[in-house]
Amino acid sequence: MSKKPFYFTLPVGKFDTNLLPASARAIGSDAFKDAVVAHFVAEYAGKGGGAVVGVDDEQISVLALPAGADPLDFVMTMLQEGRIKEAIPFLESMAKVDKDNAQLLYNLGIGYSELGQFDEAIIRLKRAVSIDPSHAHAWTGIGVAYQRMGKPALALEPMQAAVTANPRDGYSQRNLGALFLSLGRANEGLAHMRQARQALPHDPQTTFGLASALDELGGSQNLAEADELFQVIIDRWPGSQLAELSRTARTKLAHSNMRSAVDGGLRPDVVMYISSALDILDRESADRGRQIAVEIALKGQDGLDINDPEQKYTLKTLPGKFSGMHLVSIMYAAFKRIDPTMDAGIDLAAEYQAALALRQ
Amino acid sequence: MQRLLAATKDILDQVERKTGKSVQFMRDDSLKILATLQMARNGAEFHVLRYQPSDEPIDYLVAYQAGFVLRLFENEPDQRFDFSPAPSSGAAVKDLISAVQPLSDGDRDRLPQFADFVAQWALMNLRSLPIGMRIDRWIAEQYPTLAELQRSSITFQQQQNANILSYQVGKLSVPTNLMAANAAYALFADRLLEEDTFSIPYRAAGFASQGANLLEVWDETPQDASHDCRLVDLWAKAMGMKDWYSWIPYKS
Repeated sequence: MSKKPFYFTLPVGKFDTNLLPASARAIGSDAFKDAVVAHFVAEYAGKGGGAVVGVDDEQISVLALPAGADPLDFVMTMLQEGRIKEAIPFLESMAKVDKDNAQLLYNLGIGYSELGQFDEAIIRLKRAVSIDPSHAHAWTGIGVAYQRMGKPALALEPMQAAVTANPRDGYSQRNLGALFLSLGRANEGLAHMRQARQALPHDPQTTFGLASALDELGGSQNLAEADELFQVIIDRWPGSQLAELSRTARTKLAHSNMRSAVDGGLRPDVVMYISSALDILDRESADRGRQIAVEIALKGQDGLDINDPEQKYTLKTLPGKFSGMHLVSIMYAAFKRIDPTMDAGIDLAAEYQAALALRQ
Repeated sequence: MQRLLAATKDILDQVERKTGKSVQFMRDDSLKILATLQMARNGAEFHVLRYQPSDEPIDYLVAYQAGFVLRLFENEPDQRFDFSPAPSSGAAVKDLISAVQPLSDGDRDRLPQFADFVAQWALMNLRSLPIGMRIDRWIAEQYPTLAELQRSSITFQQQQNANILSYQVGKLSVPTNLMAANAAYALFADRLLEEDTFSIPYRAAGFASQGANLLEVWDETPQDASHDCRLVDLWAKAMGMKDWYSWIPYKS
């Protein structure tokens, strides 16, 4: 038979029951299901191959494989491709035969969890950890399923069991850290996020989790470290959603630093920057103003350091050297000119109003 | 595009000699099928073969598509015909489904679109499978260097066809008689590739005997290209599709 796996499904009502023993022709009965499995297994075995067959109340799923091939390899590919619903019947079928295979039950549980069938997921995952209590990922899977059910308190015990089972497992540490953060226990969250990052230094989610924990806890040292980590994400995974979230987090951090530097009051330097930006915008055409704003916004995608007064940035659209705060002030003024309702990503409204008042 | 094998070049040379026009290749990322060949018409200088990008060499697909052109041009000019689907074929599928399946309100709403889709699919199978099987046998006999690519492509096609077995929209499913062409192709593929497994799903679904009937018709009809239209007509009759299309004189 073919060297490639062959996969198909058939609605139960379409199966030709004449192929089954008379006692097994009632569609949906256990005898029917067993006989269908036996039929396909025998068909493919007769051609020198093997088959994994799943039968539920609605459909028959058949995975035909050449002799010696491991069906789990093929099913794992299905899972990785997101074809979870297709993979489940095969995993169920394999789990029926290989009842004490914790890894199989783990995959099945995760599959159900991904499909939102949390009760089914938890049953399989609990069975997996009862067979293999050291299966950290299965423990974590139970916790994740409880979290997705909206029961974070129930998630804590299995997630703690996961890190006890394998303290070096970054995935388990990260999930427990995130759970603590969601429960408002940032200190504990931070400790696990640090261990997670040690195990998974190149994982963007872990880096983001650690940065978020530091950000949550606050304090100048933690915030500085968080800012650095957010920048790491922006630099290493620039197009990712986490990079976008990191940019937002950095802006928020910078804004809060900027405000704290003047005890929450007006920043006179920013008022002056905005005022001079408005002078420039008055002189230039509207198009030119837009070009300046867009150039600064693009530059800002890589992160503008608004807490460093050094004039280290240049523009193609304007001569001279600028500090990060100066550029953000120009961009803010330009955006307000284009559309006063536009969100510039930073709140300089008070300085903008002060600059307008100065110019009257 | 990858370099073509000598066998494929030989087939393309035949196309150029017989039709006076060469084949140009065009990658098409949006193509729903593996490859399709548009014959040069209305003064066009080339035939255009559009193909899905793939890591696999496209030699077999080129050979298969070119086979249709070669078979058409084996006939005298006044014996060359185009297959023209009838606009009423969708309505015929609608009647067929309504007659055998109880329909819910939702299914009744979905039926016109579903019927049109099934009609198009069935007509494409009718037009391409019986003649395509002739081409497959020709490739297998004449071009052994394409054998592995042929096996791989047919296996892929069989996998895609098997997906239709469970195709449903609501409770609407493809009428059984229209599955016979796929069943015949699976039986043919089993025979050509000495597999014996492609037809298992069709046997389980009770379509194998209808497929075997079509394959018998295919075996008994003379193989030369002058009988291609008749072969399609015989399959259409067996599947209850004889009023779903007509043959119109081919115009270059």
